[in-house]
Amino acid sequence: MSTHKLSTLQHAAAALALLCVACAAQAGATITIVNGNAPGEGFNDPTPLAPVGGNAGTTLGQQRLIAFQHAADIWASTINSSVPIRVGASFVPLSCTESSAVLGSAGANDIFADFPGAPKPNTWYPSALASKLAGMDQASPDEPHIRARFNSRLGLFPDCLPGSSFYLGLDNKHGDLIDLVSVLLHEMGHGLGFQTFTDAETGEQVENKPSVWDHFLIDNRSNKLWANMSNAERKASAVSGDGLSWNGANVRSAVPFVLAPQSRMAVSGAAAGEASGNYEVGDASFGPALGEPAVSGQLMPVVDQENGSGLACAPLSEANALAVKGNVALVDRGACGFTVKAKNVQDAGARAMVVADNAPGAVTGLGGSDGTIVIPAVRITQQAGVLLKAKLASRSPTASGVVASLGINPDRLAGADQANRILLYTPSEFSRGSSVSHYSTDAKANQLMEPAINGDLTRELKPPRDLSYPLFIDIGW
Amino acid sequence: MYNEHIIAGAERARRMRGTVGALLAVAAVALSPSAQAAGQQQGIVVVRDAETGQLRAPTAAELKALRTREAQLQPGQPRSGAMQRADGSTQVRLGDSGMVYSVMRRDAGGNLVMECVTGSPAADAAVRNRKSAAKRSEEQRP
Repeated sequence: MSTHKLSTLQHAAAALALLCVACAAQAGATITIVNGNAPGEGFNDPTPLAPVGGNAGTTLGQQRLIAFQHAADIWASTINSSVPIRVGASFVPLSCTESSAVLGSAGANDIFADFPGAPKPNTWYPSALASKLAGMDQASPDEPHIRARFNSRLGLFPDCLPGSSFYLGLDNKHGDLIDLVSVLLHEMGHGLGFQTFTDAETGEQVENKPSVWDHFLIDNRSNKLWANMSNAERKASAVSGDGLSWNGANVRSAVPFVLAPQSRMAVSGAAAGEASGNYEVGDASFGPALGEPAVSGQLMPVVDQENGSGLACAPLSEANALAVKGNVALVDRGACGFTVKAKNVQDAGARAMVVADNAPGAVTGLGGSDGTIVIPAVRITQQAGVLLKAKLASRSPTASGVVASLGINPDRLAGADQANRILLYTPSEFSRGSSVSHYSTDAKANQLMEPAINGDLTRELKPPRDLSYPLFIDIGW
Repeated sequence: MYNEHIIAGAERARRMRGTVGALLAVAAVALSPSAQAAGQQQGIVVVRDAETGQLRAPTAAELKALRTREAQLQPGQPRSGAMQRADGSTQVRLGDSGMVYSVMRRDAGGNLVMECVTGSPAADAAVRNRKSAAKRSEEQRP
C-alpha cells in the first residue's frame, strides 16, 4: 500500500518555492520525492499529455512525477528503514547533442563514517543507509539523502537526441523509447548505495577511509579485499577485465539461482585437429538462448567475397545455401547487421550461426533484435575464426568434418568467477562511473545494475531475477 | 539495448514540441552543443515569447534568470572536506562528485548505447563521445 502526501520546503540554494511531493511505499521504507522544480517546469510542466501505460497523469509534469513515484515505490517496498528517505529531484536541461544526451544522474548527497550503530568502523556509508543503520536521520532535515536530476529536454528538441524521449508509462512497454522507470530504478540504486566512493581510477579513498562497498569487493586472483589493498592494487584491479568479484554472503548464495550457465561452443570432429575444444562465445540479443541439448552441426563457412570471407549480407548463393543447410554457418562480421546475417543463413536452412569477429579483442555479444530469427547465433574471436577456417579449407560442398556444438557450460555461470561470485564491471579501458560500481555485462540474465539499461529488464530487484537486493542486504540494508 | 526507431519517436517529439511552444511563457532554452560543451556557461540563449510564440533574444533580466537557474541546476558542487560531528561521526558532502550519470548515445550504426559515468565532466565527455561503453557499443556495431 502506498501513501502520498504534500508538503512544502524552501530550497535555499535554488531560492525557489518548492512543491514537495511525498510518496511512500509502506512495506519497508518511506521514500519521499522532493520536487525541486519551479512552477511550470520539470515536474510542474503543464504540457497536456494523454495517460500512457498506466500513468494516469494528464500533463508532462504529472507523468514525470508519477513515474518517479512508481520507481520510488518499487525501491521502498524492497528495502527497510525506519528513517524516511528524501530524494531531491528535478527535471532540468542537461547536456545533449543531436546524437547523445545525459538521461539523468543520481547519487548520495552525503557519506558518513563512525555514526552511532555503524557496523564497520572507519568506513563510509551513503546517507540513506547510515540513517537506517543509526535509526535516526544523519542528514540535516533540509538536505536530501539522494540527489537526482533528469533531462527535461530529452528527445523533445532537435539538439537533444530527437526522437528518443522518455517513455513515461509504468507498464514497461517502452518500445523504442527510453523507459524512465527503469532508468530511475537504476539511478536510485546508486543513490541508495550501489557504488563505491573510492576513486576507482586512482585507487584513492575518501579521506583515507574505505567505502562499505570496498569491504565486499574481492580480487578473485589474490583473494584480497579492496578495503585492504593499496591504491595501486585497487587501480590495477579496476581494469582487470574479470578480476573483481562481489564477496558478500547474500549475493553469493543467490548467484546460482539468478545467473544462467555460460554459453560455449564445443568443436570436435575428424578434421578439427588442434582446433578441437571449447570456445568462449558472445551471446546474441536475438534468437533463442543456448541451452541443453546443444545445437550441433557441421561447421560450414559462407564464402561470398573475393578474399574468401563470407558476410552473408544478401540472400545466400546456391552453393552457400547448400553448404549451410542443416549445418552451422560460419560468417564474418562486417558490412551489415548481425540480424541480417542471421536471417540470411536461417532462410538458407542453417541450424545456427557463428560470427567470426573481424577485429582482435575479447569476445563480445551480438546486438540487434528481430523476432523472426529462430536459430541461435554466437560470436567468436577473430583468432578463433582464423583457426577454424584453416580447418575448413578442405571440405566437400556439404560437410567439413568439423562439428560445432552450441550449448552451455553447466560448470560456469555467465558473469561469475570460478567460485560462482558475480563479477563487477572492470573493462580494460577504465570508464569513470561504470567501472567497479556495476555488475558485469556478462551476467545472464541481464541485471538492473549493469552499466547499461537493457531492454529486457523486468523491474524485479530480487532473486530469482535480479541480484540488486541481495547486495543491498550485504552492505547493511 | 534500446534500438533506434526515429520515425515514431520523432513524430511524438514534434507533437510535444508544438504543445510546449504553445503553452510555456518563457521556456525554451536552446543552447548550441558547443555552448553546452563549455559547461553551459556561454552560448546562444533564446526564449519563446509568451505572446507571439516566436523565438527571440532574452531580455537582460531573463538572461540573468536563466543563467542563475542553470548554475543552480548544474552547480558543479565540489566534494567537501571531512566534517567532524559532535557525536564522533564524520561527514563528507559529496556534491557532484558522487553523482552517477546515465548517458545515451547513438553510435555510428544508429543504435542507442547507454553507459553510466560519475561526475559532470565525465558525463559531458561521454556525451561528446570521448569515452564510451566500449563493450556495449561493440556489440551493436555490425
